[in-house]
Amino acid sequence: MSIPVWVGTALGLAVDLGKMVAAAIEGRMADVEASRLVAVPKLRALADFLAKHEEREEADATAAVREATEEVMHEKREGI
Amino acid sequence: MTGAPLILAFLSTCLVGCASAYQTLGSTADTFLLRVDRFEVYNAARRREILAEAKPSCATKATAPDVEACFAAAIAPFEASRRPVSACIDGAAPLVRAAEKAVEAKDAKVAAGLLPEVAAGAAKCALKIEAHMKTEVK
Repeated sequence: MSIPVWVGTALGLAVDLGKMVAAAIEGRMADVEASRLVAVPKLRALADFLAKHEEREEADATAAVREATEEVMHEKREGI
Repeated sequence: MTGAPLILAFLSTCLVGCASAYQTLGSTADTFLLRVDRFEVYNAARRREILAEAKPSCATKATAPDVEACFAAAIAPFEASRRPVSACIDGAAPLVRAAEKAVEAKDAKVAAGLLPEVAAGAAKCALKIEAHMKTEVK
């Protein structure tokens, strides 16, 4: 008993369709992974940067006052 | 045969959505970092401007501690005016860290859920930064 031609054609089409679907999903998954790999260091850099924000501001304020004071005291010593 | 296209459509939507959420989080992080950096550069410049303006009066003080106290008092209103903005930035930090951990752990659902919060937090702080730079006490 031979298999009808249409059954073979249908199976072939189904296999091709399956391959296309798999390739499409694989491509999408690669896009997702690429986007994820780009996002992680950006988010980490931002989180680290934000976590130290107030510390940097306070350090700069202290440094600015100290520099200004040193400048004034230096000018006083030099008689400027 | 009607099930396969539906499943494909579902998978494609999810995968596209996941990639989009990661991309949006990444670009939001870039923009927010630049804004906060600009805020800090502005603050550093304004401190020095204020201190330069205060120099003639602070230079009349006799001792170093008095001069230092004078300068500290001069920048105090500026520091008070930028603190609410800094508090906004500090408040956004844990959200960004949570998003980082979710993306790192490939937890797309949590990452996508955090995206609106991170974007809203960044936008709120950006508005505060802009307002501060326009209206801070001079």
